[in-house]
This record gives sequence, C-alpha cells and structure tokens, in this order.
Amino acid sequence: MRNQFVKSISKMFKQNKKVNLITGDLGFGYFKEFYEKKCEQFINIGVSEQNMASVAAGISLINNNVVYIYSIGNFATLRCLEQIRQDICYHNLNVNVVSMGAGFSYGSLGGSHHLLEDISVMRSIPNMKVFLPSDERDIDQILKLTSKGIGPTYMRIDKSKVPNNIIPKTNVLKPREICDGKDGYIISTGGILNDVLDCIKILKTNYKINLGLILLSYINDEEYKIFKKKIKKNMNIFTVEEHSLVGGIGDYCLDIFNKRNIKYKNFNKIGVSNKSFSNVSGSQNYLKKINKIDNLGILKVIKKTFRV
Amino acid sequence: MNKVKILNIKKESYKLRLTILRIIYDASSSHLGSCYSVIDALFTLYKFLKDKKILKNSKIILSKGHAAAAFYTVLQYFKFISKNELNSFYKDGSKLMGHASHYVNGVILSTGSLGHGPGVGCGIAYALKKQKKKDDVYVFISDGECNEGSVWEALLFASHHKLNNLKIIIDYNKLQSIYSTKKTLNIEPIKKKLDAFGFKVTELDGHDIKKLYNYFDKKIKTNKPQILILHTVKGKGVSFMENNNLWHYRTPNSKEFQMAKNELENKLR
Repeated sequence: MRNQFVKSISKMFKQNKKVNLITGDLGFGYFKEFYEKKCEQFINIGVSEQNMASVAAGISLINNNVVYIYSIGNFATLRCLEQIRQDICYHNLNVNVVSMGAGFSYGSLGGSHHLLEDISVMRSIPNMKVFLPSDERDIDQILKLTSKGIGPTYMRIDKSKVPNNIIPKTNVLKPREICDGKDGYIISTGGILNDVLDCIKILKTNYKINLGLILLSYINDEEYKIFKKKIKKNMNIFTVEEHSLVGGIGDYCLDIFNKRNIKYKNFNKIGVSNKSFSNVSGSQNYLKKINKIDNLGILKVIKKTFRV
Repeated sequence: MNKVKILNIKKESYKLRLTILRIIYDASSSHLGSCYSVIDALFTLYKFLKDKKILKNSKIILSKGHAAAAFYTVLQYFKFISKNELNSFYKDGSKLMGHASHYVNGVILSTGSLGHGPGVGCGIAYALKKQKKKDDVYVFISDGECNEGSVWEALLFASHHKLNNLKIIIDYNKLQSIYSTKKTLNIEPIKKKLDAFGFKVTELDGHDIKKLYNYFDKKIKTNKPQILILHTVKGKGVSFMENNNLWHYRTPNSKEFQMAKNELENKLR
C-alpha cells in the first residue's frame, strides 16, 4: 500500500508541478527517489508535525499549490490536530493529510503507534473529507482526485491490503457492493476486509447464511442510496473496522440509517473497544485476534446474532 | 523619512487607538492592552507598504490574533473594510470576530490559537521563494506566544531553509495572560536564542515610529530570516492601562472609557 502511495504521488509530481509532499522525517528508503534526486516538490520537514501542517497550509495559500503531508500512526493527525483544524480546515485549503499504518498496522511498536481514533476525529472536523482506501487501486484513484486540490482531505493507509481483483474498479467516492446478501450485510473498510471475506465464505458454506458486503472508502453523508436499496428490515447489519468503536464507520452508518430512515433487524458494531489501550506487543494479526476483530472474532459475533 | 511624516504617522496611530477604544467599548470586548502595544508597529508597516505601493498583495499575519481590534482598525484605515463593517466588530452576526478572521477582507490567516502564524508564514515564504517572488512575509507574534513549541519548530524551519523573505516581529510587551513573561515562562535571553537559531535579529523600541519605518524601509542583505524584537508597553498610550494586565481582559466601563478617551484626545492636541 505504501509503495503504491509512493508510485502514485511520483506520477502526480510529474503531471502537476504544484503538487508537493512533506514528510515528518519518515520514509527512509521508500521516498529515496525524492530525497536523492533533490526533488523540489518534496520536503523532509523533520520531526515537527505541528510545523508540517502549518507550513503545508502556508504553501497551499500560494499559487494554487496542493500539498500532501505524511507521517505514520497518530503523528500526522493527533499530534498536529489543532494545526489541521485551524490552519488547514478552517481555511479550507488544499492540503491532504496522509497517515500510514491504519489500526494495528504498527502493532508491535506499541500503543503509541496504534491508529484507532483517526476516523472519528478527522470526520468531525468541518471541511475535512475522509478517504479509507482498501487496495492499491483505491490509493491511485484517491490521489488522482486529491491532487487536483479539493480542499482538506485525510487518507488512512493500511499496511495490509485487499488483493487487487476483489474490489470493483468503480468510483471510490461511492460505497461499493463487493457481494450481494440475502440475510444481511457487512459494511467495512481497509485491510480487515480480508477477515470479513473469510467470514462470509465460512458462513455461507457451513451455516447457509448469506451475507453481503459493502465497502466504504469515502465518508460522505449524501451517499446513502445503496444502503436504502440493499438493506431490508429483516436483515442483520454488521460494521467491521480496525478502529475504535467510538465515532468510526459503525457510528457513521448508524447516523446515516437513522437520518435516512433505513430499517434493519439488528445492528452490530464490531471494532476496537476504547476501554483500554493495548498492554502487550503483537503483530497486526495478533492484536486483531486479542481484540476480537480477526476472522474468528467477527464470526463469533455474527453467529451469535444469527443464533447458530 | 521626514519629521512631518513621522509626526503624522504618530498622530494617526493615536487616532487609531481612539477607534480601537471605541469599538472595544461598544462591543464589550477585550485585549486593549495587546492592541495598544502592537498598533504603532502594525500601522507603520502598513503605511510603509502603502508608500511603496505594495500593500495590496502584502502577506501579513497577525499571529497574536487577540489584537484583532487593532488589525481591523488598520484595515479600515487602508480601506480593506468599511467603517460600518468595523463598527460591527465582535457583535452578533459580524465577520469581525474577536480574533483575526480570514472572512475579513485583507486578512489572509485566521488566528487566535497562538503559535500558528510562524509556521504558516514559513509555508508562504517558502512557496514565494520557490516561485522566485520578491514579496516579504510579515508575522506578528507576542512574547507569551513564544511559550508555544510550534513557534520554535517554525523558527528551525525558517533558518534551515534560509527564508530571508520572512520577517517575524515580536511584540515584547513583557506581560502575558496572568502576569509577567519573566515570571510565567522566561524567554530571556531572547536575542541570544534567536541569534543562535540563525536569525538576523534587530531590537527596537516598538513605539518609535521613525526607527520602525526605517527598519521596514531598509533592505538588509542577508540570507537569514529576520526577527524584529520590539520592546513595547502593554496598554501604551493610556496611563492607567500601561503595564497593567487588567487590560488584557477588561472592557472599560463608561467612566474608564471617558478617561481613556480624554487622555488620548489630549495627546492629539
């Protein structure tokens, strides 16, 4: 996923000289082509995320520049949250915030590196558009869009990715149906889609439960038609995310369903509890498992709901 | 720079103090002390840019956004906004919020949360330099604002990237929100610190119009970013407000308003 980001941004650099990338001193190796060639569109600003966000705002105020700011985990978001809110979003500037390492991507590095509150926080800021790519083609599509300068955006990049042939190539701005369901739907995003797809297969084969899957790659209250069309009042709905249960895509969907009067039978949010921080080291898969958001954890909740 | 012109700027600056007093009093707003410490430098800079005919596209950030009343008053003087707009300051429905607002013509950056102006100013200066534009970027900050870590992040950046088109002006009125800067979080030795950070540092009396004008007018050949430390007096111009932090918050009552008005008017005679 990260390599794709580098590939896509490199392409955008060539197409549009007004596109800039600032990193908060992360990207050893993978930004090599930029720092070794002294690319003028690239700045390594040092470990100073507050300044990174403010400088990006300043650059974008001049000459219709578009700026990407990049760091990992919470450093690109929470560390400089007020600069994002005040300098970038308040002024509605063409600055794109990019966080590498969604959820437990940097699992073993510890709680400081777990990115679990970003969707909640970012989507609450006025003017901020939140993108949640799940595969490499999503990243490319999002970069094509955001490099034109569409106001402030946020993109969370997962280390794990969904294989390229699963997600339809259609518009990333709309919720996309991956498979159709009779008994209910799972709404999900990011690398965790792999676990979700596993569950769907097991449920179908072993329990004759037919669940559909809708992928969310962009947070937009106006995109509700697919939910209205697909979700029926006798259906069980599950949202699955590698993110806090507070304010993530689960809450987002509940809000939309309430607002648009979309009826369902049960609604289950599957995600990471905000009751405590991780107190152990572990890979992304391990931490997903102990937080009960791996394939088996998700399966358990669904089976309980269907009483099988 | 002739004597008459200096006297004129000084006089206008006192007139602006009267306007600031009036709009703050009318709106039951605050921060008179901060407005009065910065007004001489702010107005002189605008006057200089106007004289040079480069005011229209100037890049000025009032990072100490709480002195918005002074900012808007200067903007009105130079016709960026109308008198009616200025009179709406701080009132319900007005664009002229209590802290500098980019919804107001002439304001490029909304501020109010301290420590943002230097970073954004750096970004603007960086982009202008890349475009080979000659414009300077001016950022007014306060001494209390230097408590913010983000200010120092920006200073490192400015120096590293040799942003010699960036001019940061510190309104060093020695008082911050509760008590003195020295007692709160001492920034001294500030000049040494800024020298060490790689800035071209100048210290001036922030109420000396002639020196201020000459500073802005003088082309300094340097590849360093510049900092102007202005030694100022909070509440300058009204004796009972000078060096008294009450006037960071307080709206003058009718008696105080009249006293301040009389004092300023006397100075204009």
